[in-house]
Amino acid sequence: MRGATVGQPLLKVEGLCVDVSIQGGEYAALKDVSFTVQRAEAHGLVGESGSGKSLALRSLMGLLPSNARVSAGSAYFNGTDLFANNGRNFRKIRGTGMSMVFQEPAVALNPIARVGTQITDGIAQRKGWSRKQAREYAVHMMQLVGIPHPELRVDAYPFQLSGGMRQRVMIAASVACEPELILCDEPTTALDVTVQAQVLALFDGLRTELNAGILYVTHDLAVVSELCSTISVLYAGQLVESGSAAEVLGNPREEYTRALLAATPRIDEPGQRLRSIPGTTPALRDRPADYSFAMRMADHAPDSLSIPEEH
Amino acid sequence: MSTFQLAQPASENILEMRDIRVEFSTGRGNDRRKIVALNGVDLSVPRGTIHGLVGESGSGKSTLARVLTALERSFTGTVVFNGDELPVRRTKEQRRHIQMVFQDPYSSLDPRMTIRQSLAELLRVHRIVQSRDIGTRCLELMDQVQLPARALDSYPISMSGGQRQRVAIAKALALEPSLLVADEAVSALDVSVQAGIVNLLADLRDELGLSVLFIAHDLAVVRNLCENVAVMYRGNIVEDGDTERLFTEPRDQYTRTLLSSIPRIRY
Repeated sequence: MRGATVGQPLLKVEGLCVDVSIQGGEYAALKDVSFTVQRAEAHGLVGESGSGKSLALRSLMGLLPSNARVSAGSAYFNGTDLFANNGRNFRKIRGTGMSMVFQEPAVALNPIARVGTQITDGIAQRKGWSRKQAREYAVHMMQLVGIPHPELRVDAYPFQLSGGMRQRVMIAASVACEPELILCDEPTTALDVTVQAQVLALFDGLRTELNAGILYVTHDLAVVSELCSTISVLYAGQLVESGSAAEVLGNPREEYTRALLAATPRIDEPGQRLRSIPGTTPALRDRPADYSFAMRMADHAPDSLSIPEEH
Repeated sequence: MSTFQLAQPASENILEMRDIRVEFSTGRGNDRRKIVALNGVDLSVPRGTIHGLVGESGSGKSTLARVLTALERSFTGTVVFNGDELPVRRTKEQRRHIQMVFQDPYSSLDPRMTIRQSLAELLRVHRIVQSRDIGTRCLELMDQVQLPARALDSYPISMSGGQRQRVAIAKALALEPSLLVADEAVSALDVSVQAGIVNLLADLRDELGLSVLFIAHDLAVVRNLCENVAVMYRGNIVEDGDTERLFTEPRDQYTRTLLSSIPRIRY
């Protein structure tokens, strides 16, 4: 199915704009962002802090903070307009249609509910399962995500599990209803590299076995390269470049993508001096309306008077 | 550059830790258990090199850094710094030689002090330079961490994460240490900013001969920066040696698992 041109894509985002209001002012945090995710495809959304990648993900789940709103654009999930019907469409789609894996499982999980209950809350209610049925399913899901001794852990509270185990519980809860699309917000950032490898393998398994689409937000180009076949690069709320992972990483067209790659330490190419990108993405309030990466480079030219962040 | 004075070379290794053992106890009553955080660790850092320390969370990396900087005092074993054994309770002068840079640049600076005030306080308390030379020394420090002199009169709140981390390094350098302990000092930074700090540490090593114990979980950074790497697993150092050899011919099973887990950019 990957790269299929026939039929409608699983997720089609077109011209997405998100405005954020800060102290009475409206600022464009996402400007005209478009991408698609096919079934059984993992799409990476890459960018630095302040690029708007998490905001994009949250707008698709209808989980924007109260001071942010979708001001223009559309997002079609299986042909359903997510932003239409005053946001009521989200309710039908969350859980079974798409679900989200958050970055910080310690925060996203309920600290006073047993992990088994949290995994099956959604599906047990939908299917009208008994407590016993739900428990069996929880054990099955925990096994699927690679938690050792799930029959013992199913009754544990989140604080009794390690960070890696908690993240797996989060993933189990997200995929319990076998969603068609999994939205991931840097789910491996807090994990050890060995656990990260297992979690990435798990996502890849869900993609191939359940035919699930994955939208994976991260700043880590290596992680994207491992998991995703297509990539969109975001900078300061704008889509800089998108295409197949091989194209974007191997033969980047845009200066920003090239700069990001040159700043990333390579495990396979040691001994090369990294090239840092001068400056940082300005805060939303300090960005001119037509802000671009070229302006950041111009601001930090060697003879510029602004504080050089890097050299 | 400056008149940076390193401790006089008295031994080939700036640091030798021998048979370091730390135990914690947790729980109460019948649940009381003993946890061995460091199980007889030996580590040597050759002078003027950056020594990587990698391992999963809970493997004991930070405990080792805390023993080294005397933040953790209940341990057994010996810490030999520059040829002399350091006591558990150290003098101000002994503490000065080993400085630490922490992970979070947002919580490791005093928000109410300008950068100049922070640096001046350190220089005064440790009597590094005479009062009239404090201003000059502050300028030199800014130069060393590649920040403009104007940054001296800024407050941390007006600085980015990368700039704050440079200030944290300047504060460590103010005391003219011989060994810098960087505990995940680049982990919280964006990759574009991280590259600048990694380059700065390499420059300080090359220009000042500074030795660094670089604790990290990002193995790609370690391979790019460090001459030697030690791998920790459950309170033990399972492998220690030349970076290239360790990455190309790992001997220990855990090191092999770790290396095979590293995500790679492929195309």
